Amino acid sequence: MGIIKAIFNIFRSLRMANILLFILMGTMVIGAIVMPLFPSYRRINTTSLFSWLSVTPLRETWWLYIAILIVALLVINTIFCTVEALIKKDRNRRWPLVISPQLIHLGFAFIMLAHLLSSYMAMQGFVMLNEGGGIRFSNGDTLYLKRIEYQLQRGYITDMKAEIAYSDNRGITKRLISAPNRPAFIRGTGVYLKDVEVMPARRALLQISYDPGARWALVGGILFIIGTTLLVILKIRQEAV
Amino acid sequence: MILLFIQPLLYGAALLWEKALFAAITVQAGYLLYRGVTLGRLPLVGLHDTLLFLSLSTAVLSIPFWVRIRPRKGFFRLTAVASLLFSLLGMLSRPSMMPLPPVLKTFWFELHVVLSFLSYGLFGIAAVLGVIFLLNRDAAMGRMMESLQYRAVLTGYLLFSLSMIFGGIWAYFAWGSYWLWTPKELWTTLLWLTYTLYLHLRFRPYWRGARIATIGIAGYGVVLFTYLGVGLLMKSSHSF
Repeated sequence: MGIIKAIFNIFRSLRMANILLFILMGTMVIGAIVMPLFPSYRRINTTSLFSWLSVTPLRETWWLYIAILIVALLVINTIFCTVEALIKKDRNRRWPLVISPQLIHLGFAFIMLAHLLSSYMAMQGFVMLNEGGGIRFSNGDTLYLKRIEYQLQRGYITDMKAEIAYSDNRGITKRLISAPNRPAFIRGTGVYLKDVEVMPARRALLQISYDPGARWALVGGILFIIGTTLLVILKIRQEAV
Repeated sequence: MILLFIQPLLYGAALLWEKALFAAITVQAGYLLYRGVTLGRLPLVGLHDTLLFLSLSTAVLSIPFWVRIRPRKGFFRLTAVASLLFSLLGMLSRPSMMPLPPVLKTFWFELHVVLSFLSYGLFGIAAVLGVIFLLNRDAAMGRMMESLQYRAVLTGYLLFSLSMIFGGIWAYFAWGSYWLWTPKELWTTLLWLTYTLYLHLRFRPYWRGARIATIGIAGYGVVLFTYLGVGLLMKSSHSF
């Protein structure tokens, strides 16, 4: 029991949080320096993080493993800190002041959960389709590029959109529009219009992406902002000059 | 165009006559408004626009602090010098007249950029307050500076966190993922971690006072490198 309590005390401590944050900052600096040095990092955003890590040499990725470990410890620290704060319930403090940092911690934990999901399960692929052409996937579904439209201003493309059709293996077809910042979603997978070409043929570069962490990151972000807003209001009132 | 050349002069004049700051703010806001109307969008793309917006943010956000600080000359001069410097650098950068690429045509991008630069303005003010704290020998004045620095950092932290979340939403709709592994994103996270550390360290009495004030100053170094250093030196979605 004594050992468990000692571990709990170490992991819940503010000192531990500060040390972990400091080490994480160090790994981020190393990462920012290392990333441009190795060509393998050009592919890091084209697949899930863990898939990329599995095929990339350790001498290029060691800092990422340290960062992942530190983030995991920070999440544990955050959860322990929150559990302790909620159990203690200091009677002298107003409950919004107790609850707001815990909302921030919860938001952070959700965002990290989102990163974990994305790092495992995110998928991404690119396909160049001619207008009127299509591509059949391994599950029998087919994606067609029906039509592309674009606007030019002084030689620059200022707007574009693509009309796509998606037929599933039961023959049900959906017609959708994809444009920059307005992807077409098909069962949680986004079809993103990346570029259009008119010469030598009218065609479009489409990106097909699945990011299962996105909705959890949004939940985490909302909790984080609610907690931080509450804390700002309360702390600014408290910090009387 | 004349507005562009007048604004640094007015920031310079504000060093001698405080009320010139309001004229500088008005002229600079007028210039950005003119650019916005001319371009038909928020003028927040490229170094020219963002430096001027940073200058304006620093000046405008310093006002609530300025009215609380007595004596305020030191604070006022340092923030005016920061705004003057950003204004001059902005003037020296070539304004972007190109039409906006389709991927930047979304209010998520606009919110992301506006909130980033407002938070940078507040982090700059926090750094100025830290410098005054370190130069000051008066204990009561020091306590006030530290408390004001904390408020500036906390509010900046909220705006910066919001900016990161809006940036994530934009990235998801534009690139299919709310997070991209690029040096810029790492530096942005580093910046966020720096101020997270600041807010956590301040809970510990050992770090209060000169130590936390110094971290508030160092944090602004990370802000400037994340904005200018990474934007100019490294290739990313945020390159200038």
